[in-house]
Amino acid sequence: MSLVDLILTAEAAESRSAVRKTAFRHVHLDERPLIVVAFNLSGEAAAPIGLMWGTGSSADDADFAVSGEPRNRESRFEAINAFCDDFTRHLSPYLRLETVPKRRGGGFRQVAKAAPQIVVPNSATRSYLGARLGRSLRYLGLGETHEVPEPTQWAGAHLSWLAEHSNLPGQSVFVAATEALADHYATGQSALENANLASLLAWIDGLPDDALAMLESVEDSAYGPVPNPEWEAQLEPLVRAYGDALRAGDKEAEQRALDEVEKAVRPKLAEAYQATHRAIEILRKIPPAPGVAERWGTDERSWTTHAIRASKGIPRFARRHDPLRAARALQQWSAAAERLETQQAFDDPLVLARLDAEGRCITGVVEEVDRQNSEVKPGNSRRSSVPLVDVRLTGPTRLLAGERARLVTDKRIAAVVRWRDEETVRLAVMDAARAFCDAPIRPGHEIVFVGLDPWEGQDPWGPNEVPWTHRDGEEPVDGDAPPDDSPDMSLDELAAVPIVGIVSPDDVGGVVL
Amino acid sequence: MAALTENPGCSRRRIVDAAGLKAHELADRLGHPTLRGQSPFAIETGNRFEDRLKKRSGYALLVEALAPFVDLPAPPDLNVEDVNSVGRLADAQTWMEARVAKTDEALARIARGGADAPHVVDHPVLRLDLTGSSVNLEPDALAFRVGDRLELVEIKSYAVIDGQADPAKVSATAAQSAVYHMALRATLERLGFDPELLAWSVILVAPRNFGRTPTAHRIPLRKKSAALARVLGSVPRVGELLDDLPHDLSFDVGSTNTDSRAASEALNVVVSAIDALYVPECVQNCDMAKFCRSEAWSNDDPSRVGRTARDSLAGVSSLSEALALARSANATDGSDAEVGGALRDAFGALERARARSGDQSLLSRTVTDGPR
Ligand code: SF4
Repeated sequence: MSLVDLILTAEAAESRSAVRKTAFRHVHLDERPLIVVAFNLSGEAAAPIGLMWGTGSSADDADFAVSGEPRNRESRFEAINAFCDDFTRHLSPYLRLETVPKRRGGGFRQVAKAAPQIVVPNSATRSYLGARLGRSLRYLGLGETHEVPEPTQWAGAHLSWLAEHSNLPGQSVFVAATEALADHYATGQSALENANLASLLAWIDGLPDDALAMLESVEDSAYGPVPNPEWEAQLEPLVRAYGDALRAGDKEAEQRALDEVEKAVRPKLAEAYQATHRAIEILRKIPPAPGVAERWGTDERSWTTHAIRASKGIPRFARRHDPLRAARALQQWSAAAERLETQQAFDDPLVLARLDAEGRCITGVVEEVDRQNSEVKPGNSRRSSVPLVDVRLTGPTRLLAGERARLVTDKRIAAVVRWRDEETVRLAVMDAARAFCDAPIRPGHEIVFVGLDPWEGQDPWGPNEVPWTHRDGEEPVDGDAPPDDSPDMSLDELAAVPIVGIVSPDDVGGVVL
Repeated sequence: MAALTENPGCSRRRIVDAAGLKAHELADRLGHPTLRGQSPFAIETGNRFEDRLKKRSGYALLVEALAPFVDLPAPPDLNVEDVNSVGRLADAQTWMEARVAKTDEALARIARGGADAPHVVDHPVLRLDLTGSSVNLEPDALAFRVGDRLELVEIKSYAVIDGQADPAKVSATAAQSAVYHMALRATLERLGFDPELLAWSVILVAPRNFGRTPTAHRIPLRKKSAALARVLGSVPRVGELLDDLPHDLSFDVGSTNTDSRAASEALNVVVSAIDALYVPECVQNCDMAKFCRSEAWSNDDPSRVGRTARDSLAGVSSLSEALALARSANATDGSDAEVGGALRDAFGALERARARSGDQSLLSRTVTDGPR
């Protein structure tokens, strides 16, 4: 936690109300993102007791599915299939490909028209839906596995792609409301406590005098995927009754028992749904930062890759990355994280403040500007324009003579620190001198340079660095397909993979009948 | 156990443990009950999994799961020593003693390598001296003999999906196993055997993917064990902690006290007298957390927002003091001069940024504005 964040936290604690920590929104928001909330039965890796999803503002209009006994295959898949059917249908328009001219070099390429956006209440739900539920579904229908409807297989593939993509820093396709809110608001509590959407929202609403009592009362209403144990204890007899009815083959009792489970589960799903929707609306009020659109473009390109694979049938995923691919992905994620940080710093003064606090900026008031100055730059033989600007510091800096810094309001403009003392810094503009001369920079104006280079460091999208999930969707429309670098396995290979667990016929995992 | 290994510097928890109190009961009586208990579904699943591995399959499933690491004869040739079989004795204390003795005896037979040595010791009870107080550990883990090597085994019901499990859970298992490992080594030493008999790892047996088929993974323990030993070596022993407390301090505030509120308040005074070291992670690891969190809130203790806050505010006793330092115009001297300077710089940067952003709603508010 940086000192700026610590101060924001202390301010929030003092006012018992969340404090904005950015001036802009750094996450892309779709007009109508798909909200998905889920509760999983404890003790099981992927056995949802209830799911709710929709794009509307009210949980009353949202669709939902409840399983009377998630440990029973049929009951579980009744709920899973219902969700997957809708989920796949929701995503299918996004899979449509358009043929557009290539940006460079002629020829055509295929692109997906738009990428979808899915918002879930918290990061635990995101990994539950993607890495767990998605993984449990994606091999179904293959080899010795149980048959499931095709949309369920599709949903397994989509969720698996989403799980992988969600690792990419700055992505906005698969968003956890808690993370998005905590990126924009400081609360007066710990990061651990911020993982709870209910308490985050309570901070944003403002807390009463007895703040802790209020927080304690909302905290227990976790919005999934792990149910509160007390609630599960109430649920247990209802689930048992459903199991009994199943065993007895009593259709009527079965329906009655299912209704009871639904009555208990649906309100909890609705609460979570409503809270997630609120989080989105809160974020929507914050104006987007310029970098958001650019990053969303990256998201769309990644999605295009998925869409192109999907145009050839259900995309298949390996069980794990091989070491090489894992290393590459890791490298790409860390490069993307760095890129994101730099982009946000240039986009958002409040993000930049963290660097300023560490002395990595030159912040001050312009004293004098010399636009006429010209010098022979190292390596040149002719004189060129090197404007000089003297800045009276309004905050301390650690940048020393000889170090480079860029103008925050126009990052093309780079300058070198000529000399400095405690109060004043002289900067010589080395790059984009013309732009500098044209800029309305006059004595008395506030000016900020930052010792950060948006073009240095590794390019996360460098062609050789990009793993299959994020490869640009430039595939020739006709002609030979490039060698497939996806981790897919052929059907034969997959069939040879020992798939165990609830998906394998001889392992009736958790079936209570 | 988690509370001890995750936050060993907390005197309060260690004294509560040494006094033999159940932390959740104490928290309850203090008026800060934890939302405790596991889900009935999770308990059932966990019990069923362990039961299948052991009793229901006559240990056959367990032997099979362990096969990649340990070559054991299949039942009926498998020799199992179930320490629980000492039978229920009159009181818990003697029963525990009997099980400790039986575990000792089984371990001795293994270490000696006699033909009658058991292959599996189920439900062992190990005694360990933890910084001055003696505790009984009941791993659902078992000790196995492979040639002349002992293996520690831990059965868990969380899923291992494609060879990977929730890292937090694996880490917790490793931490817990490190304590068992330490106890096993100590026991071997006490019995006069070479503790190096015991492998520096634990074999985790857990359900594979989404089903119930067990799979086994070896988790190395050397690092965890070394960290545990270091931590336990650096904290004062319980005896020393007690020396610092008033001699008449007692948790026994009179259970006959009919006024439960008064009792709770008296208890509150006692518990508050013992130093705590609250951090947000306590909520996951210690049943006293709600009490300690509320104490940290009323003290406005910086550590309640995280360890790093506590560390970077060394010498500053409250969040509001940190804020006052940040807002103060002039440098102060004294112990917090350095922290104060950094805070002032940070606050200056923040205020400049807010002014630049031109967004009124971002401007810093003071408490007089109150919540929006
Ligand atoms: S909750 Fe309290 S008693 Fe428990 S470890 Fe944390 S500070 Fe210590």
